[in-house]
Formats: sequence, C-alpha cells, structure tokens
Amino acid sequence: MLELIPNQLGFPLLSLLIFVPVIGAVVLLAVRDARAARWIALVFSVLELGLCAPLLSNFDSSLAHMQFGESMPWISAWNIHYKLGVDGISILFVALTALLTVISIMVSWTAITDRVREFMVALLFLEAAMVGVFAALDLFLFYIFWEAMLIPMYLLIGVWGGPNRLYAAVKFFLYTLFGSVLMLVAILAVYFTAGGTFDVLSLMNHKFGHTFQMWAFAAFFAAFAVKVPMFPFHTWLPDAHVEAPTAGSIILAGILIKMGAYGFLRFSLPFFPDATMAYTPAIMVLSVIAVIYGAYMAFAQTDFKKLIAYSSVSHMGFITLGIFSMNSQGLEGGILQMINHGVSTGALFLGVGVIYERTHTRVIADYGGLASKVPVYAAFLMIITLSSIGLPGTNGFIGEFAILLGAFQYKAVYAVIASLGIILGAGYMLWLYQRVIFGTVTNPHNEHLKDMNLREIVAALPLVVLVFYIGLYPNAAFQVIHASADNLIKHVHAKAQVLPAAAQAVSTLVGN
Amino acid sequence: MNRMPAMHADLLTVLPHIVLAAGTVVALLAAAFARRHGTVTYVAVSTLLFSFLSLGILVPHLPSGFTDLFLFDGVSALSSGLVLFASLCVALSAYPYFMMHAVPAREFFILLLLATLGCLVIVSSSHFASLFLGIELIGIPLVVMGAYQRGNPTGIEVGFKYLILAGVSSAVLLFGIALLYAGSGSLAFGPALALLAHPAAVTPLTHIGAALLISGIGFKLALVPFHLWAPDVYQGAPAPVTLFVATASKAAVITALLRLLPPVVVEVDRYLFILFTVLSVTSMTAGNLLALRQQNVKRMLAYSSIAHSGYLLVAFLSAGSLAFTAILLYLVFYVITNLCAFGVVSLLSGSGSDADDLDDYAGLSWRKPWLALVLTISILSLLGIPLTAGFIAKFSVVTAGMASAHLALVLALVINTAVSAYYYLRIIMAMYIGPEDVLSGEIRHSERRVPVIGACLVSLQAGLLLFIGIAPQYLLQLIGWLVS
Repeated sequence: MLELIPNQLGFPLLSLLIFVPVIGAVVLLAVRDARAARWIALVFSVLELGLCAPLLSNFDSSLAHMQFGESMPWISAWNIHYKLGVDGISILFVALTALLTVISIMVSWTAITDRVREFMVALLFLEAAMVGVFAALDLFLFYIFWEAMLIPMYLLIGVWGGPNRLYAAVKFFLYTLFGSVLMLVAILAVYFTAGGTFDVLSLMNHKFGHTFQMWAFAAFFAAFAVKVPMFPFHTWLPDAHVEAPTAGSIILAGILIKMGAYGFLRFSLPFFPDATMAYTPAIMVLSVIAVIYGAYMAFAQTDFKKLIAYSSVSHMGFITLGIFSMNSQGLEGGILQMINHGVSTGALFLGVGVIYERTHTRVIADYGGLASKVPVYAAFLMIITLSSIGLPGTNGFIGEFAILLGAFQYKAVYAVIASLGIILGAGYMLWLYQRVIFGTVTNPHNEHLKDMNLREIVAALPLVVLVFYIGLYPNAAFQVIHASADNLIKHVHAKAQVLPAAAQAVSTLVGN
Repeated sequence: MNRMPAMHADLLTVLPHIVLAAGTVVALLAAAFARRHGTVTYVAVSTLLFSFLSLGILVPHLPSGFTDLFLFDGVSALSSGLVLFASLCVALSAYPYFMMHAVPAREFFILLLLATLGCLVIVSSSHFASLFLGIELIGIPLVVMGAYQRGNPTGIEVGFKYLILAGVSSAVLLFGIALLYAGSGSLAFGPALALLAHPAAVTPLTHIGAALLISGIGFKLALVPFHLWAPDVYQGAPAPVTLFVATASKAAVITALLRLLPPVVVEVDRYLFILFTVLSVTSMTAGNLLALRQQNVKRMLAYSSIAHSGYLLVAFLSAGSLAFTAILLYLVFYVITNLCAFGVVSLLSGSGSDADDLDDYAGLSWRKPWLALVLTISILSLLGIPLTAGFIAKFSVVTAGMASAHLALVLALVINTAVSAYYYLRIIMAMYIGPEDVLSGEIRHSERRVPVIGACLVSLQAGLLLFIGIAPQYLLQLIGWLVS
C-alpha cells in the first residue's frame, strides 16, 4: 500500500536534518566560551530550520506515500535498515521541531548562564533524536531515537531545572522508560510474528492475529500513553514541566508529548486495526476524562507552569479523542491540533519563561496589573491565551472544531462532554490572564518590570504568525495532512475485521 | 584421541598459556633481582601483550585441541582476548594505584599473571580436571590480591571472604563433578554433555551433580542465593582487584558455563530449565532491589553485576544460534563496560580510601568533565540505553528470549531494567547536579592529576562502547566468524 518514494533532491535531506544538529553538538564540544556556544547553537539550529524549506516545498501533498526516502542496510544480521521517509502525518512535526528548537535556544540566551555549552549540546542532541523519531521507518531505528531522547531531556530537567528538579527528572525518566521497555518487547514480538522484519511499511501490510493484536497494542499503548500523557499516566508531566527550564518546557510540550499521539498514528493504528477498534471505546472514555480532569485541575493551580501543564493534559485528551474517532475529520483535526498545541503551548511556556526570568516566581498571585507595565508582553499573552482557548480566527479553533465534528460522528455524547472542556478551558485561561495581566500592581517587585526585548519578540513572532496563519487559512495545513490521514483511515477500516466476540465484550464493558 | 599430527600444532593450542607462564617466571626473577617496581610492571604488561598477540597466530588454526584437557575454539579465542585485555587494563591501572598508596606492587603483578593464566585455562578447558585447575588458579591468587594492602583491615576481611567462597564453591563443584563422572564415566565435557542432552537417560544422581556444578559456578558468578560475598569483596578490595574480579574472572566463568551447559542443553532438560529460571529471575530482581538503596558506588555496581548475571541467564535459557550470539555479545559488553566503570572508580581513588561513596561523585562533571562523560557512557551502557553496547547486548538477549517464546522471562528482564534505571541515574545525577550542591559536598580528589594511561584506557573503552552501540555489525561479524 504505502510506498517509499526515494529522495530525488540529490542530497540526503532527512539524514542531513538528523545529523546537522549532531554536527553542531560536536562542534560545540570544542568551544569553551559561553557566548560562542550560544551563537554556534543558534547558527546550527537556524541551518536546520532552513533545511525545512526544501523539505516543505518539495513535498508532494497529493500523495500518501513516504517521501524523501532513504534506505540502506545497517545491521544485516538482524535485518535492520537505516530507513527514513516522511509523509503528511510526520512532515509538519519535523518542521515544528526545527522551529521550536530555534526558539528554545533564543529564550535560553540569558536565562541559562551556567554550563551554556553543555545545555546547547543537550538541546541539539535532543533535536536530532526528535527528528529521527518522526523520520524513522524501521522499528529498531525508531526505538533507538525514541530512547535517545530520554537522556538529553533528563539532563535538561535534572541539571538546569528548578529546585525540585532531581525528583522531576527521575520521575520523567522512569515513567517513560517503563513504557518504552514494554514497547521493546512488543516490537520484538511483532518482528518475530511478521517473519523477521522491522520494516514499518511492510509491517503495515502484515495481518496479525487477533489475540496477538490485543497484546501488542496494549504494550505499544504503555509507551505512547505515558508519553501523551493520557489519564491516568499523566502524573509525571506537571512535575517535569514545573521543574524544567523554559526551553525544556517548550520542547516537552511542543514536541515530546506529541510523539505519543504520533506513535498511535504511525504504528498502533495501521499495525493493529482490530485491536484499535476493540480498544477505541475505552480510549475515548479515557480521553474525555483527561479533557475534563485536566481542565478541572488547571483551575486549582496556583503555579503558572503547573496550570499550563494541566491544560496540556486536557488538550492532549482532545487530540486522542480526535484520533480515535476513527473518521477522517477527527483524525485530521487531531493531527492539526497536535501542531496547534505545539505552537500555542510552546508560546505559553515562552511567555512564562520571559516573565519568570524577570521576577523569578511562577506563583500566579505574585503577578497582577502587568498590562500597564509590560504592554507588549500583555498583548502577546493575550493572543496565545485566545489561541489556547480556541477562539475563531486562531489555530486552536480549527483543530478543536474538526475534532468535535469527528467525535460527534463517533458518539455524540463524547463531543458534548468534550465541548464542556472547551468552556472550562476558556474559564481557566481567561481567569489566569486576568489574574496576571489585569488589575493593579499588587507586588512592588513588579513596579519596574521591563517589557519584552527584541530577542524575545523575534522568538515569539513566528508562533504568533502561525497562530493566525493556521487560524485563517487552515487549508494549507490540512492539504499537507489530508492524503496521508485519509489513506490511514481507509487502511484501518479495510484491514479491520468484523468485531469478534472478545472485542465486543470490551466494548459493552465500557458502556458502548 | 584427536591428536594433531605434528607436535608443534599441539603446542600452538596453548601458546597464549605458555607465553603467560613464561612471563610469570620472568616476572618472578625480575621481582627478585630488579628492585624497581617499574621493571615487574613492564614484564607483566609485555607478557599480557605478547599473550594477546599470540592469539593472532592461533586463531587461523581454530579449533585445535591439546590432549584431552584443552580445546581452543572461537569462543575461547574471544574470551581469551577479553580476559587478556581486561588484565592489561588491570595491570596498567594497578601501577599508579599502588604507587599512590605506597604499597610495594611487585608481587601483585605476579599474582595477576597467575590469575590471568587461570582464566585462560578455564576458557580453553574441555575436561573437568583442567576446569578445576583453572578455577583454583584464579581463586588462590585472588585471595592474596584481595588482602594485598596489609595495613587495611577491610583488605584482610576481603581475603578471608574470598578464601571461604573459593573453598566452598570448589567443594561443591568437585562433588558435582564426581556425581557427573559417576553417570557418564568420563571427566571430559563431551560425555557429560551428551548425557544431559538426553533427558530420558538422566538419573537423579546426575541431576544432583549438574545442580551442584551450577551452584559452584553460581558462587563464582555471584548468582542469588550464592551472592553474599560479592558486595563485600567488590567494596573492600583495592580498586584494581575489583576490576579483575568484575571482568576477567567473570568472563572466564561465563565461558566455562557456556562450554559446560550450552543453551541447547538447558532448554532440553526440564530440571535444568527450572533451576536456571529461578536463578535468573531471583538474581536480576534481588540484585536490582538491593542496589536501589546503596550509597557506595562499588557496592552498587556489585549488585548491578549480580543483576546482569541474571539477565545473561535468560540467553542460556533460550535456544538457537541467536542465544549463542547473545551470550557472546553480552560477554563483550559486560567486560568492556565494567572495565570502563570500575576503571574510572580506580582512577578517581585517592591515596586514602577508594572513591566509592556517592558523594565523591558529586559535581564530578565540573571537576573532571571528561571522566564524568566516560563514566556516564559506561553507566548508560549498563542500563542498556541505545547507542551504547549495553543496548545491543540487552537487545540480543531479549531477542533470543522472544525467539524462544519466554515471554515471562523477557518481561521480568525489561521490568528489572526499568527498575535499575533508578540507581544508575543516581550516579549520573550525582555527577551533574548543580554547583550549589557541590560546595556543600567535600571535594576530595579535585586537585590530583589523573594518570594519563588510565584516562586513555577508559576513554578507549567508552569509545568502544559507543562504537559497538552504533555499528554492532562488525562485532556481530567477528562473533559469527569465530563461532563458525
């Protein structure tokens, strides 16, 4: 079905996208000066972003196939290949990764003063691994990149994080690793069942037995659900976000947690369509719980970052709701919302970082009345808040609307409950905005607050542009996504068998 | 028996052994006549090097036998190479270590050469007599090496513990050998193996013999419940001795186990299968759980090595060529990783006690960024994170387990891996925590210069770990070529 279209650019674009940050990191190792380290990291990340231009412009969005394909044998004894390619589902994430890395480096410019070089090395390695995750078309290769992200992220939180960083870093690592090792077992089970191949494209066409699918889906689910994070596997996220430095939070919220949802799309759905159908009711319930629970928790938070972290749990619930609606509106909305959430939550954490650098507090009550002191910042935060709420005209609206359409078709009650989440979202975000920006200055420390400087504005601008670009002209993004998403949904429905008795039992159990 | 036609071909089989034995004699003479420590060190190092190089002469003629006692095949060559490499590293790190502690080190190198000879005898033995000879040849020098620093009371304790361990395990082993002999009527490995491979013909007595044999080897591998000596010996022995116990002697014993009870036999025999399963799961679980709360790095690594022995047994429980390859890969990973980790511990150890408290590593990345990086790589390799050799080794063991459909065992392994992350991360965390934490901790070894050779060695080992992790196909080819 899906084919790998060989790369016709004359240079291995995807490999370059993976190795440019690595080269940057190696170059950085030779530098001692903090200033030089910042500039070198910035140059390499901008170069990486520049490489996304040929990627996006040469992408043929009318095809569902994997493009820019590269393939060569790597470990032939185990039939492992170095195989890369992107389709409409993954390509935007590669670009978003490159963009958010540049922004992360820029917001860390003065925020990170300690061991700058090591910080940038970790960030660049992380970028390489993230691009690798989205581009890998060999399960073994995918797993390598997947695990390779752990260490730099762990160090970003553990070394440059807040006071309770060690706890948060270890919690992040252990949760994720636990999911990953179960996935490794499932990957090997898939490998042996399918006759000794790690090739993602041929595995998509392999028909696995029903019982096998149920087990393997569950094992993959362990890895992806922790990463998303789905309720009730979410508890590491607020801790990690609160303790992580701004750059870490941006990457974590923008890219890392999208990988769970990406994993569902790339592996769980096409490999195990029967199991997907069987588990869907349960996952839909979990998603709706996440939407409401995340919003509910967000109301109770006194910490700026923790509030956004719980809002992420809520928003990620939306995304899984869309994906598992099992229709093209929901799926495409889910994918678009993954991008949207990356943009707006990345921007929100940027906003927190900007103000935290000046005041060194994240307690919402320490703010208030900032509108008169930092008008540019207030405007920026306003735009992002509205995008996060999903106001028409911003990107958030489009994604949430499509997801609700999809969920409604699946079962109206889910759409109804989820829209309640939107209302709650508007509640806690506007309340947050009101407490931080409006009113009078109650905290004397905030009297002489400086507004966003040029560097911060430049870092924030692309995200603001994206908020409106996607919001006003969503077709550009949908076009890229459409062919692949459509193909995926058809593939799943064509491959899935009539629900056997066992799966129906699961369905009735959760009240379908 | 299978005598080779020419005498020199026979002798070729034991060339590495002969080189080592001759070198030991030279070292003895050097110790008697040349009073400088350096001379004996040179003799020991060059002996090990020559013995290593002599493998090159031997390898094209594999497999070759020497009487009934020795059979040198590809597996022996691989383990001999590992053992000699490990001993070389031990020798090179021991010299500066003992210089710093102002302990005369001449005799240490002689003991090291003898113990290495013991390892070589074990990995090439095809007969219970030579196996036992080799085990004793490791055990007796190690007793003395453990207690080498006479002024240090823990040294004496370590010597005694190891002496008792060696005595008990030898006794158990010998009784097992005797019972197997009663069943097969021969002391060579072949008949005993053939006997065990046909479960229908095996008498209970033979099973008890095999169980005792495994227990004896279990003592050496520190499998739970035979592990009680390991943490104390790892912690109390001088760092270079720990290095030897953790790498060379362990590699030799694993090879012997591979010779005695290859995966095929374990898979076929139900009793052996149950025994190995119990040993495997208890070792990995208990090892990891006990490591969680350790404050002493050497002790923590000792428990980690117990867990790793448990992981390795999963491969012994699996069948097919995958399992065989997995064991050899694991052996390579295990030796190099532990050389690297304990090598750094040894390098950091000052003239006082060894740098084994977790606090000694606080902020290491500020004081010695390179060594911290090297130690990080080796710890990540122990944990089995991708792009290190540890991942490839663990992956191959898990693959072998999955291929034999031992799902429960594999799950035990991977869940244990997730648990082990907690204590491995503690070491990494300690090295990279912020400056305010370092100031409160005592910076004990900051000013001391690290010996250049030692630093180069651990860097080389860390590089090897990454190389195997990124491009394992070369090692896989080498193993495939040696085994075929």
